[in-house]
This record gives sequence, structure tokens and C-alpha cells, in this order.
Amino acid sequence: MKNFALAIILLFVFSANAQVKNVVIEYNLNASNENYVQKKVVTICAKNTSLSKTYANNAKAGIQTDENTNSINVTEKEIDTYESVDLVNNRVIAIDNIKNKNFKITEPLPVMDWKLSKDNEVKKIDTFICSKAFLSFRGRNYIAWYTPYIAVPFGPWKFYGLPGLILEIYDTNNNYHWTVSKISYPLTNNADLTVLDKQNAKDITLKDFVEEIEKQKQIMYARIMKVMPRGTTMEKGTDNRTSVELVYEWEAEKKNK
Amino acid sequence: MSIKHIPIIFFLLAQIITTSSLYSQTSVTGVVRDKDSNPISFTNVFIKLKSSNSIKAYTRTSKDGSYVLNIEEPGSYEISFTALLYKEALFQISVETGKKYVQNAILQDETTFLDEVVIKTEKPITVKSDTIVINAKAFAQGNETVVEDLLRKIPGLNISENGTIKVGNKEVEKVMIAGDDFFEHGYKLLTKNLNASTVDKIEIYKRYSNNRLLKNIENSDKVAINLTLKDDIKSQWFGNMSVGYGVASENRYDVRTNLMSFDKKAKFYLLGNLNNVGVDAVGDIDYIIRPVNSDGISSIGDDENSETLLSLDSSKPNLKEERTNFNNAELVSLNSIFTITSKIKLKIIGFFNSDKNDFYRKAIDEYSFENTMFSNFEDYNLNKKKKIGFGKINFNYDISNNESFEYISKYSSEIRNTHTNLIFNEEKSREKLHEETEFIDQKAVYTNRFKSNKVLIFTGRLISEKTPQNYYNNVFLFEDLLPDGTNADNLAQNSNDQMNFFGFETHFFDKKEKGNLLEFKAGYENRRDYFNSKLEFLENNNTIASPADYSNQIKFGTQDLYFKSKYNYFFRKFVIEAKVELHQLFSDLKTSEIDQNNNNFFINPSFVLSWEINKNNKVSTSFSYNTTNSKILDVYNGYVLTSYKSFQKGTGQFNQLQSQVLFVRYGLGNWESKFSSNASIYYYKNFDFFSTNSEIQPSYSKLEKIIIKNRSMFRADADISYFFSSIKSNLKIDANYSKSNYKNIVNNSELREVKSEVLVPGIQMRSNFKGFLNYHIGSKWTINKITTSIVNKNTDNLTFFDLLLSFTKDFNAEIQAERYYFGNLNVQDNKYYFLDISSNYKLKKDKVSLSLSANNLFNTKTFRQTYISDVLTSKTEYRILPRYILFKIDYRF
Repeated sequence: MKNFALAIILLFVFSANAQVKNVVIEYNLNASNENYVQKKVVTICAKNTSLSKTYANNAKAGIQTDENTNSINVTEKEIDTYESVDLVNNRVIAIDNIKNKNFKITEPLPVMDWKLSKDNEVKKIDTFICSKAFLSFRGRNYIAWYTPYIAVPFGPWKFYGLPGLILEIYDTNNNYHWTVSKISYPLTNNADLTVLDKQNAKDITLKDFVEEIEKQKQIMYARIMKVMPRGTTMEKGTDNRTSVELVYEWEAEKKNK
Repeated sequence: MSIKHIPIIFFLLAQIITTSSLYSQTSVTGVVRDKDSNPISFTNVFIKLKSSNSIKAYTRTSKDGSYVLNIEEPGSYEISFTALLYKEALFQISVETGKKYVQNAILQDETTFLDEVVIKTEKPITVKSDTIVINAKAFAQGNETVVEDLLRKIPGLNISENGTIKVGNKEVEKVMIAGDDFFEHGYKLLTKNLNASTVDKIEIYKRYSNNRLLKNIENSDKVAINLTLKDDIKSQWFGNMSVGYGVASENRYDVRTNLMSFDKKAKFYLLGNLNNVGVDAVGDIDYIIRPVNSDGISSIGDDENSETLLSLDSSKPNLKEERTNFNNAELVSLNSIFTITSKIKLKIIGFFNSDKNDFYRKAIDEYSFENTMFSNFEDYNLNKKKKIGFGKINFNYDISNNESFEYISKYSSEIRNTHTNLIFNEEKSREKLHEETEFIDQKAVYTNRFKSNKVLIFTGRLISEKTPQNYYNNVFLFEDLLPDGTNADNLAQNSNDQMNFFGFETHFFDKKEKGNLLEFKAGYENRRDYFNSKLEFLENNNTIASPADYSNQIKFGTQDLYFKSKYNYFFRKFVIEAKVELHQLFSDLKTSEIDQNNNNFFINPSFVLSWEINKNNKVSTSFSYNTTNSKILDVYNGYVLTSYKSFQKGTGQFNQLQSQVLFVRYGLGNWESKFSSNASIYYYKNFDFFSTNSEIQPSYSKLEKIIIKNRSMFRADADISYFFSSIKSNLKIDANYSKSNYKNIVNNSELREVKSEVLVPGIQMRSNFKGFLNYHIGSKWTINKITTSIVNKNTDNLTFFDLLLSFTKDFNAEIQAERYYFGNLNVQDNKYYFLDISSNYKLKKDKVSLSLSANNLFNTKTFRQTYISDVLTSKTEYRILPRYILFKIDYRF
């Protein structure tokens, strides 16, 4: 047993030696749903794991009221979010928050059924020749440009599974648009997954997390409605999701029934 | 330890078995190793057709370095192996259907690495400080029909189901076409109808100012959208039409049509409305005629109107206007904008409206005051015909980058003819009232931004309006007023107020650091009124008498030289707004009795302080001291008939009245708290005010304005609300209380004190379910008490229950039920019920929609309401539009 443990450690050291380098990619995220907010995303990829950090942009946080249009805008203050795809253990761990409270959300690796473009279409992003692929995932349709010459099957956020690094990806409504801004191969800076544990986050399943968000949203709208005069209705679509993920698998199943 | 892995291995095996059995097509297998023969996991394996860039199939190696790649079609391929830290390996492979191939690879270490690559990419959207320019072509997908569809494709614009456009979370102020705007907040008319293919670029302006030269000087967070049109588009007419017709009820209709045509040089918008469902058609174009100007810029003269005293349809019930408005409205409006050069624009707006209204009421007025008691009964049947013509010209000249000039000219003419059938205490009479209003308004505005943070606006304005009224009653009701020995059997009154106004103003803005804004205005206003009225007692259309104290020949002028200054100051959690107005007023009044000149100087200061103590506690307070001047309706000295049985007159002299207002508000809680509460107090003190000295007889009443010292009014409002998460509903309880004390004189009494108290408590519950159903239920009481030597009391209640149903995305319905209760009425007729249902169905997206609205389903035909004052309690009965069901179809062409 002792020997076995030693062997494991040796193996780890060996493999660590063999693969010191990771790829660190910086993306610009244009989140157009939120008033053209630009965010920085840094993704660290090893060959079988990725860790993305989306930096909060709090330029727009606060409450604005507008008497001309009779509207009230409540923009919550944001904090950084993380997503990590782990192909060894087949799971995704994310750190996300509700009202500034962090949650650690673990889900089994979701299926990303990429369709490669049949056209002979390539796009040159800087010096990288990129191929096109399509993905329909959790309510959005994406177009991705990836390069097989950087051999990691990742991209920003939870994206994984293409034969190469994603340099640009956007949904067809262009609500979320990630574009690469920098690629580096630092010597250190391993995909340090312990950062996820340092976020002081409560463990939760994805489904519970989504349900909690919906609950908070209902409470929020109810509070807005309480000051509105009689006959005021909430416009249809006001409470539609605007997050990256719009429909979850269990919700889609429910609909199909 | 190894037991743990069994399921995984089993799973992998199972997967391999299933894949190989399912896809018995062509496959390539193999193992990838490094130079030391160690297997490399997570190697990218992909194939391309030779001389092609497109990847046909790909996979990854598993832990042991092995891979299986399935290929759908035969051909000459290149198979590539790439892995992090290794050089790419590439092999040629010819694939035939059904065969299996093996391709192993050994990858060499990658030794040369670029440490860092900085990537430059083009941005899909240009963002220039506060303007975002979006190329429509880049986002159009070809299936857009109207602009709204196109805007839905634009990132960052959120368009709700009903067409509200938001940039991020903020609703847009307006949607312009090449910088021009017809619709203001009614922009949906445009975005739901304009053909998407005509749009070239979409520009989003943040921190938008209506006057372009005030950008970043005004504290604005408005957002506007501008659509630029393609150069080559030809103007074509487009629009929509909505036709509603009453089914299962008497003839009811509601027809609306909008027609538009735009090109670079000229833009047209035509609108028509015909209805007899109680809707005032002019409401449709209100925003075109009178664009909202809440910022007080160039607003000199906005409040100047000539006055009328006689009104036959003043009393309206406390109900939605549509319920009692028996009408027949027709409206046609043509609006156009011409771009003469890139700097000169001309906007011409005109409309014509005609309306016929019928109105019915029956009332019993029980007078009771100072030992006098009597009752009056009236049955009133009113028929009004109205015609309005309106024209407006806007001329805009952008002189240079920091200078602009605007000239606006308006003309309107309105003719109203009212006929009534009146039964007053069993006496039948017929009234006729002919009214004509003519209004001419001209304004010129010059703006100069002479420094980047300083702007000067010069405004000049000229207004003239006259409002003649000719009244006739075929029965003479005022025997007491006749000189002895004469006899009259009918009566006429002619009156007119001719008002002329002119004024100039200079408005200066200075934006300081940190957003503090200093503003001041200096100006001169001159208003002159010529008010004439004459009452004539007639017998067989011959004038018998025309009493002097029932006529007026008033000349009244005021000239106001003023300086107004305002400063907004932000300091930590405090916002302070201080205002001061200095006026030098010259007035001259000439009546039959006096010729008076006055010269007054006065100061009106006001002060607002708001303090955000913390996220949950906010306090704001304001104080102002006001001096107001007599208006034309306060200074005339002869009695004027104001309804078939009442006369009124002013004080006969010029006065100034002093008052002060104090306001304090406290708010607890914010958007995130389940519990929130607000409380405010308002105290209004008049040091002098206009009260009345009235003579009330069964057959008529005479009111004279008098000035009395000291009136006070107090008002308190409070509400609390709590959100119950368990039932997803919000409970709100609110109450307001007001009390006022003043004095008046009735029938030569002493000055008598009148105390009036109103208490309005209410409770409501509102759901916020996610499903297809939502409710809103509530009740409100109005408790009124007026105390003189006797006490008049009244309690009314309104209870409502609304249900909102949305069955599908395209089909929704709304049910509204109301119950009115009047405490002062008899038990058998003190409750009234209304039920209205409306539903909408989208038959064809963006093209055809259907709606069905059922109004007054309980078919309540009359409505009684009570009213109390310091001299009477009144019970009034109104006629209500009977039940009707309107089927409407909306079609876009």
C-alpha cells in the first residue's frame, strides 16, 4: 500500500515534469445583454482540464430610476465567476453567486454535441487558421472558431470538446461574444483548481442553484410590482433569462412531455 | 483499489462495443505515443480531405493513447495528431467504405514556444464614447420583415414581446429616423411597421439630450435610437390598420389606421381614427402636438392660456372616462418632415378632429347650511359637437457645431356647440352654448455652446388666444334678479377673453466638476388680457335688461422681469438643490370701478435636501415660500354666469398671495428587502387665500371671491408592504389622511370655519407567479367629513379583482372586476358592479392579430355617486355605455 502511494506520487511528479506548460488564454467577453458590458476572461488549459475566470465589471452597478420612461433599473453588484471543466473526472465545477453569495456548483460533464462546418470555410485570427463549428447548448446556438494547432479541447467558460482551442465563440443572437486577446504559455501558473475552494462557496447542485435564482427573481419582481399602480402588468419576456444558459436539460425534458 | 475502476473499464468497454456495432462504417484506429513510447492521452486526432481546410472527423486519445475515428465518406484524407507540448504529426490516408484502418503515431516534443501572442481582432460594433454605431447589414439574416425584427438581432437591444425597446435595461426615449422623430414614446408604431430592409445603420445614443448642444451638460441618462436609411431606397407607403366592430351589441366601432412613407428628403406620417367606444381620438396624437418638456428648457409661456368661465359639462363621475363618454370621434392627421439641406429641416404637422359627445346625468342636491334647507332636482341631457383644426411648423437650422436655431409656429382653431335639455325642479329648459377658440403661438430658440461646459439659450415667444363663448337659455330662471316691473322669458350671455403674451428668456448652464450644475435664467414676460362679458335678459329675443353688475370690461396686464437661479450640489450622500426666483412685477388693471397700477418686488426661494443615510434609510425634505399673483379669473368685478344657475365674480383688484410649503419624506427598505415602508408629511400654509362669499338660493347661487387670512392644510401618507415568499404574493397597506381648515361666508353669515377631513385607507394583495395566472385584489375606502355648524359625512368604497391569464405566447386575456359602494345612497342602489374582459390573439406574427374585448358585461346602465361639500350633499346619477363586445382585427401592410 505504501509503495503504491509512492508510485502514485512518483507518477504525478513525472507527469508534472513532462507537462509543465499550460496554455493561458485571455478573452474579451462582450456581454450585450447587460448594457454592452465588456469583461475579461482568463482561461488556463491543461491537456485535460480548463479553468476560466470571468472578472466582474461593476461599472454599471446600482439603481437608476428614470421618470421619463417610468422605469427602474436594478443592476446588482457582481463578483468574479469561475468555471472549470474536468475531463478526467467528467464533471464541471463552477463558482457563481446569488446576491453576492458564492456557490460551488458541481454538475456531471454536460454533453456538447458540436457540428463541424461542412464548408471549406476558415478564418485567420492573427496567425492561427481557425475552423468553424456549431453548437446548440442550453438554449443558445453558438458559432465557434477553433484552431486544431493548439491542441487543447477547451475554450472560455464551460466550452469543451472541439479538436483544438476556441479562439472566438458567440451565440447567434450575439448576446455573448468571446474573442481571444492574448495567448501565452507560462512556465508556472498551473491550472490551480484549489482556487475554487478558496471562494468560500457553499456546495450546491446546478438544479438547486437555478431554482434559487428563479426564486430570487420572482421575489424581486414582486417587490417592483408592489409600487406599481393597478392594471400595470409585467411585460411578457421581462423575466426571461439573459444568462449564458437559457434552458437546462431537465427543463427541456419537461417541455417535451 | 482496482475494484473501483471496474465500472469505468466496463463502461469504456461497453462504449467501444456499442460504437463499433452501431457504426459498422469506415474507421481508423491506432495508438499515439511519445518518443519514449509512453502513451499520450488527450491527443487531438482529426482528418481533413486533402486540399481542404474543413475538418471531417475528430476524436481524442484515451488514457492508453488509443483512439477510434469514424469516417462517414470515402476519400483521400490527411490525418493529423496534435497534442499540447508536442509537434504535429501528419499522415496521408486513402479511405474506402467499410474498411478498417490502423494509423499509429509517435509525437516529437515541441521545443520552440512562443511565450505570448497578443491578438488583434476587429470589433463587430463600434463604440464611440456615448454613441454606438451598428451596421444593420452585419446582423440582418434576411428573414426580418419590420424594424423590430431587425432590432431583435442586434446584440444589446432587448425587445419585449409587446415591442418595448431597451438598451440593456433602459427603455429608449425615442426611435428617430435620420435624426427626425414623429412618435416620441409611441415609437412602436414605427418599429412595428417600418420595413427592415430600408435601414442602413442603427445608432444608439446614450446620455441623450433633446437639444444636441446640451449633451453632457444636462444631467441626462436617456437613451435614444436613430435609424439611418439606405441611400437608394424609394419611398413607399406602409402602415397598419386596426378595425374593431361590435358583435352581439348595438353598433360599436373602433377603426385606426397609420400610414407612413420615409426617404432621405421627405418623411410622411398619416393617421386616422374613427370610434364610438368613448375614446378621445386626440389622445392618439397628444405627444405630437404637445411634446413633453419636463426639463424646463425654453418653456417660457408654456402655461399661458386664455380663460373661460362657463362650462356645461363639468361634473364627471369617478369612473374611467370611456364608460360615460357616448361619442362619435373622427380624426385625421398628416405629419411631414422635409430635409432641405443637411443643416435645415422643416417639420409640418396638422390634424383635424371632429367629435360628438352625449352625456346624461340626474342629480338631487340637498342643501343644508346655516338654518337653510332645500333640495334641487336636475335632469341633464347634453349633446356636444366639437371640431378642432391644428397646424404646427418646426424649422430647424444647425448653424454650426456649437450653434443652432429653431422656430416653431402653432395654430389651432376649435369650435364647440353644446345643446342641453334640462329639467330643473320641473322647469324644462334648453341651453345653447357656442364656443370658439383660436390660438396662435410662435417661438424662436437660439442655442450657443460657447464653451464645452457652458451653454446659453435664448428663447422668444409670442402667443395670442381668444375664447369667445355665446350662451343662450330659452327659459328665464332668475325672477329675483329682474328689475321691478319687467318680465323676461329667456337669457343670453356673451363673453370673451383675449390674451396676448410675449416674453424673452436667457438660460445659462454651467457644468462644474463632479457633475454639479449651475443654471440661471433671466427673462421678461408680458401678458395682457381683455376680458368682456355681458348678460342679457330677453323677452321674445328683445333685450329687456342688461344689468351693469353682470357685465365686465376688464383690461389686465402683468409684466414680469425675473431672474431665476438653480444649483444642484452633490456631497457624499447628500443632494442639495437650491432655487431662488427674483421677480419685479408691474401690473395694471382697469375695470368699471378702478384703474390700478402696481409695482411689486418679490422673492420665491425653495430648497430641497435628500440624504441617503444608508442603503435602507432615505430622507428627503423640501421647503418653499411662494408669492403668487392674481390671474385674470381673480380680478374681474362683474358677475358671470358659470352654469345654468350659478354666477361668479372675482375680487375686482390685483392681489398677491403668500404661502409656504414644507415636505418631509422618509423611506425604509429597498428593492431587496421583503419589508418596506414609506411615510411623508406635507404641510401647506396660506397666509392669504381666495375664499368665497356666496349667496345660495334654491334657483341660483352667486359666488364672490374674497381674500381671507390663514388657511392650513396638512397631509400625511404612509404605506407598508411585505412580500410573502410562501405564496409569492405581496401585501400592501396604505393610508393617507388630509385635513384642511379655512373660512368662508354663506348668505351673509359671519366668517364661518370649515374643516374638511379625508381619510383613505387601502389594502391590496398582488401575486407574482411564474405560471399562466396572476391576480391583483384590493379595496380602498374614502371617508370624508366636512364640519361647519353641522357635519356632513360620507364613506365610499371601491373593491377590485383583476386576473391576468397568459395561455400561450400568442394568446392572453385580462379580466377586471370592480365593485363600487356609496355609503350615502339607499341600500337598493348603493352598489355597482363592472366586469370587463379583453383578450388578444396573434394569428400571424407581426402581421395579423385578433382581439376581443367585452366591456361592462353586467350591463350596468346607470351609476349613482354621492358628493359632499360645506353646503350640500349631492346624489348624481350618470348613464353608462351599455354592454358591448368589440371584435378587432389588426393588420399590417
